Amino acid sequence: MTSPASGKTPKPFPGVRPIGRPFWLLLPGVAWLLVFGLAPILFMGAVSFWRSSIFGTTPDFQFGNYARMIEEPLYVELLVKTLRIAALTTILSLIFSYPLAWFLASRKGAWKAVCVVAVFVPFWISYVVRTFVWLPILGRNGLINQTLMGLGLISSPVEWFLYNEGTVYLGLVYVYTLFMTLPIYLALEKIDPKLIEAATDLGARPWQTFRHVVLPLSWPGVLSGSIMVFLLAVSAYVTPRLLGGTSGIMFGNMIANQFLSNNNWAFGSALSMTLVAVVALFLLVVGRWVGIREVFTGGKG
Amino acid sequence: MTHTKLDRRSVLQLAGGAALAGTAGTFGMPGTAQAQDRRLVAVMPGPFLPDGARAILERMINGRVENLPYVSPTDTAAKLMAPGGTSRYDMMFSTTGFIQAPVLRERAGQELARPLDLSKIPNAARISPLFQSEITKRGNNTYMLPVVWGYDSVVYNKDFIPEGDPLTQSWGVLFDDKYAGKVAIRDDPYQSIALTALHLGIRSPETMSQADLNRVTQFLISKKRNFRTIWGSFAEAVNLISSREVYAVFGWIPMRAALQRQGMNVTNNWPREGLLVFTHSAFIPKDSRNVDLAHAAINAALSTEFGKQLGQETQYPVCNGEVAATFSEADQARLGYDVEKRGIPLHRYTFPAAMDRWIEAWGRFKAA
Repeated sequence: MTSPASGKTPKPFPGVRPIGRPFWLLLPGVAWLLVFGLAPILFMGAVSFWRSSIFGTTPDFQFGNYARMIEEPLYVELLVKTLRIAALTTILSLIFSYPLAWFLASRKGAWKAVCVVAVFVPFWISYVVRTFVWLPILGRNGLINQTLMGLGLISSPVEWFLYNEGTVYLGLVYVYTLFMTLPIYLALEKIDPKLIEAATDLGARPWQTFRHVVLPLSWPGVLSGSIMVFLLAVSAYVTPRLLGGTSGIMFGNMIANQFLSNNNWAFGSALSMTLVAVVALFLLVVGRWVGIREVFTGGKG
Repeated sequence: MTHTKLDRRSVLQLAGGAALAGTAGTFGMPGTAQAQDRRLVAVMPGPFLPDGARAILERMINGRVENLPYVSPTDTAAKLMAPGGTSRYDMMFSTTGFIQAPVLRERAGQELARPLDLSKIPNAARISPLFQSEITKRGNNTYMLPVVWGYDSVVYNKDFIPEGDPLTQSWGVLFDDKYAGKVAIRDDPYQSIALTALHLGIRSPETMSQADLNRVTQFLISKKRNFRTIWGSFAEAVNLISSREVYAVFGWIPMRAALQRQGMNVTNNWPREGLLVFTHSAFIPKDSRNVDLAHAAINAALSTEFGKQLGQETQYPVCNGEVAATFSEADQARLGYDVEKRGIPLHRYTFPAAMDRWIEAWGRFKAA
């Protein structure tokens, strides 16, 4: 920012002598990104070219791990399945979370605080517990089946409530709701009510007001939430394993097996790097279409 | 309410006091040094150290066992191979057939465990002839001793699957259409593929050909609808039976024990195609700082008193050949000490040479 009169940049703290250019202020953030962001990815990338055996992992540079992924169609199949589940989970989360966020944003006073806390409370409980709890609810002798049988609506338990891909969606949407609801709620909160009033005064119908005022202004929140839910869902491991039954497998489960059952860190890293690359590509392609750049550049891109 | 004012001086005094207390053990203050020295850092499955058995072991070694979480043989190997891993733990237990190779490594001199001084483990002489082959040696050195053994089979609810049904004496109870939708297997490539291979008549699953592995995979896929689900954890499997979601699971000894404690009418089968048997061996990581105490702990774990208590608490049998005689005949049968008399083949857990392919086969089954 410059002063229009002088054309010079005003001092943020008048009277305080600056100690050189304050690049050092960036150090904590840069260090964090390097240590916890870039370094693990670089290390994983390096290990993906190494060799693993029952005796451990040894440094090398070979493409065998990636070649195996290409040779075996299972990995591509699972990648496609994983992207499909993650994308659909994101869409379903959006469908359920937007009205919830709107409801929260439109409350007032103490009632609003109570509602927001009520949305948060389940998320103070472990992710695994929140997934596990569906078993006694949806199981053969679970709450829903017992209730329906008690009411005489069914004569024998419904089997398909549990252990199929539909249950995986239910579990994923449930555990990731907050990550979608919160950014949308914050975006809706920022909307000046006068804009909505103005749209109404100018004759816009509720749907038109939503489409031309509310949705564009809350779009960054929608995108942030979608990215978070998509990234969490794409690496899901516990939910498909617990709720998916015999078909409860996603790419994350294959990666976990390499580390937990086989001690094959090299191949596990190669699978992980592939997932990172595919997700990045997916975000790049879809992102161009929905204007995802705004989320990463804070609207200054 | 009384408020205490915390100024800078009192905070420093408190911090100094805490630091002094924290370092007291290190510098040998009376009463703390001994407890610190007699602490054995172990990595062993929790079920092998229930309260009663732990009390016996700690009394025998006159020290405290700090047992860190045990996950799997793979995780044990990873812990050991990690930088500093051979000095971080004093004693480890893991599945013999899976941990032998990572501990011994390829060549003599590369071992990650130290040779055991058998003069300090006199109870090693009590190891049953049945498990002598599970003692891990290289040259004249002994590196691992089998302590606990067990078997994995089908745990089933007798209220729904009669004990007299011939299917119960086979892995077929998991595959036959008679119990379709009422059974569950484990989400574990090794165990699920091994038991299926045994059921299909493959005598040595770990060395089977790719063609046989494909046959096993196709068979599993053809029977996929028979499985209600595949379980991933102990609690999940127990919950499947106790909630009557399924009537039979591929399961472990402590699952049977836990369900019986809940009053469930369950037992396990003795599959005629071959029972999956494992031993857990104890070893001392190469750079352990408590070598004498670790030797004492292995000796205590091989004692008759410890083995009997472990059987009573968890139903796990032990490799000490004298323990069986301390139980009644009925209890010996219940715990599996009569396994040789049953005349069924015992299939010992061994790490498959092509584990990668097994994992892919399991993935194909789940993705099908």
